[in-house]
Amino acid sequence: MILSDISKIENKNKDKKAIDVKSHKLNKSKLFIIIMLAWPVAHWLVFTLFMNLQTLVYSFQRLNRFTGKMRFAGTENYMELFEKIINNTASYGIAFRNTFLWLGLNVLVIVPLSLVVAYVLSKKIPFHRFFNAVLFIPNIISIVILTMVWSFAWAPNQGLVNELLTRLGLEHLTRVWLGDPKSALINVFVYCVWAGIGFNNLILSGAIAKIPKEILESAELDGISNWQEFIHIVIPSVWPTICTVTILGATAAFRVFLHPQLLTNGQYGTSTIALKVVEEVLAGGSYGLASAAGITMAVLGYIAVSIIKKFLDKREKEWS
Amino acid sequence: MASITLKNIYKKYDHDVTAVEDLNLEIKDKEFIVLVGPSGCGKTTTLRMVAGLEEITQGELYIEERKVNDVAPKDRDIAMVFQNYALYPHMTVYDNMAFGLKIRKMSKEEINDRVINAAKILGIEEYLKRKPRALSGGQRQRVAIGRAIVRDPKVFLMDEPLSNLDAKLRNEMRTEILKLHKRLNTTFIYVTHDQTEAMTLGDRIVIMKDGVVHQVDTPQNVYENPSNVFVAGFIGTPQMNFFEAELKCEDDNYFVLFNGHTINLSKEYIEKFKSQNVKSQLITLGVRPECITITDKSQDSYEVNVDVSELMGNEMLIHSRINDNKIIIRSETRYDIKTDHKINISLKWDKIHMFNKETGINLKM
Amino acid sequence: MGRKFSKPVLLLAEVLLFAYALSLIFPYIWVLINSFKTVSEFYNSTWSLPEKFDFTNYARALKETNMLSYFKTSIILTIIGTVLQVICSAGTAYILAKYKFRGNKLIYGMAIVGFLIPTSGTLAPLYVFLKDTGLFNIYGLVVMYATGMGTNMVIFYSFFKKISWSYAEAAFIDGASDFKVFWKIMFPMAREATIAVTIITAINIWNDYFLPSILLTNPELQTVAVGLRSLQVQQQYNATWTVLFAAVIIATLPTILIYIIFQDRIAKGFLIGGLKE
Repeated sequence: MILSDISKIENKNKDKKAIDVKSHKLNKSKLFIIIMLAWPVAHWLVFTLFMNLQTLVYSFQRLNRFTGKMRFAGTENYMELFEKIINNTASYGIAFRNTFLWLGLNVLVIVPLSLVVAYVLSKKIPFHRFFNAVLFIPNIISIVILTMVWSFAWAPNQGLVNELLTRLGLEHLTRVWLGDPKSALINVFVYCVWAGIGFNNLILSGAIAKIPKEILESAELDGISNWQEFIHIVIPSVWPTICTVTILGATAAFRVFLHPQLLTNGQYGTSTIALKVVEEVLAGGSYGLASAAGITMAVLGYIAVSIIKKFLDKREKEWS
Repeated sequence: MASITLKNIYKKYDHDVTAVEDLNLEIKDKEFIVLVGPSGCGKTTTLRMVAGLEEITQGELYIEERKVNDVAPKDRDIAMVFQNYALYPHMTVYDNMAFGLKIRKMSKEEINDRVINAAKILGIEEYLKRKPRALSGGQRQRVAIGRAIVRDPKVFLMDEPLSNLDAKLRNEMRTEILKLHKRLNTTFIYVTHDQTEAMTLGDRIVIMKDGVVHQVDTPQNVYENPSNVFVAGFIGTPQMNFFEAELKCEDDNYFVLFNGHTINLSKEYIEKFKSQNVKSQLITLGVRPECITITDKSQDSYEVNVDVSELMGNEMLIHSRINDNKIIIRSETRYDIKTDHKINISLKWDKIHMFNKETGINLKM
Repeated sequence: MGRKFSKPVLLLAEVLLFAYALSLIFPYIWVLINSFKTVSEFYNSTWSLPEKFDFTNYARALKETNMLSYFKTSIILTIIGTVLQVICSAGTAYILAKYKFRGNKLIYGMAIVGFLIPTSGTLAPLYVFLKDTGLFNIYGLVVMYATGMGTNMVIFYSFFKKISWSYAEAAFIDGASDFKVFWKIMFPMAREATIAVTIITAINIWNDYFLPSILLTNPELQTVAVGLRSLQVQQQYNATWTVLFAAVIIATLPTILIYIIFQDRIAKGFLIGGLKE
């Protein structure tokens, strides 16, 4: 998606006047290019290429705790990972399931909700500027503070929500929201929606604002209802942007670990495979297992995102 | 089919900016009315108020006998063609035309009949399955018009529909729109900044500037009897020539002092001025380029200096100066008139326009 | 704008949006109110207004925690990290957008592939690498931030593509060097992109939690985000919540103020950098 977007930009902006170093001025320009690119390329080679290759290598190795060296271990790590997932050892099974629930949450809940919000706000309803500004707040405040304030609100004692329920005479509904396996995951999901709409809203609002005014007016003269306008005009018009935010959300689902880590420490059935990777590394030494999990998730993520992209592209073809 | 009445219509933005001021207009059933004026004159705003896309700040709008100020656009039984066509990019030509009917829950067969029929009228049957971006500008324009036709509205609104087309196509489409009006036999309101379009299309044209209507009349009347200097200058290319002169009234006789000459006016003018009790005053003299003839030197002729002569083929335009005033002359083609030549001209005094110098109002009105 | 909402729909939308907006703001107000209370007052009633506006909690938050040193670390890290990242990204983007040479396309492709790969899986080798190279500290963090091939580069790239090369040619004719042309002419012309990228980058680095939480092992040298998190963990045993509340307010206030002042610019920046996750 992003890739094709960018190549589009590239084709559009073919700059014929760019300096051709081969023919035109030379050694000085060459030197300049080398100096300018040396650091970024080296950085990429180390932190992107090397790290990814090394992850692949590690996934077939194990740390020898006595020598501190990695040794070849074949597919041991992968077998261990699959066993843990199937048997739900150390909640690996739940973590695996949760990653896919997150995929569903990001793609099927947050994006559609954001789209509705962006559409409503595009009507310049009273206070729309205020709403836009407030909805975006989660994006400028550290996730540490956000999750902290969230857990204050849902704290078992003195927490906002339980207090409110008690005052409303609904004491039987109060619970240890983030410490109860029955509610913790749902609560973390609600947090993600609560904090996640603002960014998508901004991007989608930008796209909706670019729909030619005459198209909406023409539809208005056709006697369209708001629902029809949303379905038949707005969604097709901003579909490329919907694709972008959906793909971003889908990719992000495979990396989620901070939200459960900060809200519940990954307990009460809220962990994800990405969080497991972090825990294994920080707990000291299961580099092989962590890397195998990383590679597995990258592969599964790639497959899932490709399927979603295929579905989105089919629609896009119909509409363009 | 509907008459439209605009009564004391005002459009104000933020209480200060007045886009349209005290607009009164009666549009007859089946009339083709053109709103014309320079950009920012309020013509589009007026059209959008009729459509219901802009709220009316003050005044009353009637379609037939019904007051529609607060009626939603969709219930006004109008269709509008937008300047940039406003086609839905994700729908085929067929769906673009059918969309408004589907919204109105019309039966599939009826929709199909109407779309096919409109497509035939406009000659776009082959393109029904295409998306708008696969069409040329002219074809898109037809689809946009087709979308209005299928709705079979009482009133057709068109907002500069031809301004995105090239000159040749514009001429073609202009004739087609005229034919369409004859064929559909409904009321058309057409907005343009192009006076040629206004003159060729309108049964009557409404000339606006700065939110105010300056004249409403048939093209012929607007051309021959412009109500003021603005209208006189706006309608007609090349523009009317304007000079300063003086109107004298002595003993029930009227004459004009111009460039050292004294010109007696025709009886028609004198009668008119007498009846209106016109006084001596400074005037702006308006002479259309075709009301100037090149003559031999005589007592009544003026000598002018040729700056440039533009050969148009069947005619020529001579840009010249009389004293320091620019003057454009339209004449039949002559190859002997060149830059820096001196020629003699005379004005057709029976076709001259006289405006009050201060107010710009035509003295004959 | 298109079709307006009917009254009931509009009312429903306003009510829901107000409720949502309130849920985003109210917790902070609640934290603010309770930050003025004494601990026992807080336990007695979390809803009432404080008896008096007592800044003791704030004084304690500043004195007993390392708040000021957290701020110092965060500010320094954000400035250095942002400047390095912006300059690296702009420089790389400029070269790739404006100079033709063998490998140009390859390097651009590398950058794109780079940010399409999900990175959390690579933590193990990164961890080992930083330990082995002695970068397991704030310098490692700076090195990590100083990337020139991320999404910021793509934003700059599309901007530089749009700037006409004739400005540079005019300068070359006047005898300017390649570097001068970049630094004095082309980079200033990408001002809009620079502002957008700077805003996004600064906010991201200021708020970054994960990497600093691993690399900054010295408790004196932590960022605001990391420091607050460890405060939160400590509070679970100390139960002096009101001090933590004060710390939260102190930590949030600068961000909120900056957001209120530069709200439009920040939103525009994020919109320009829309690709950025």
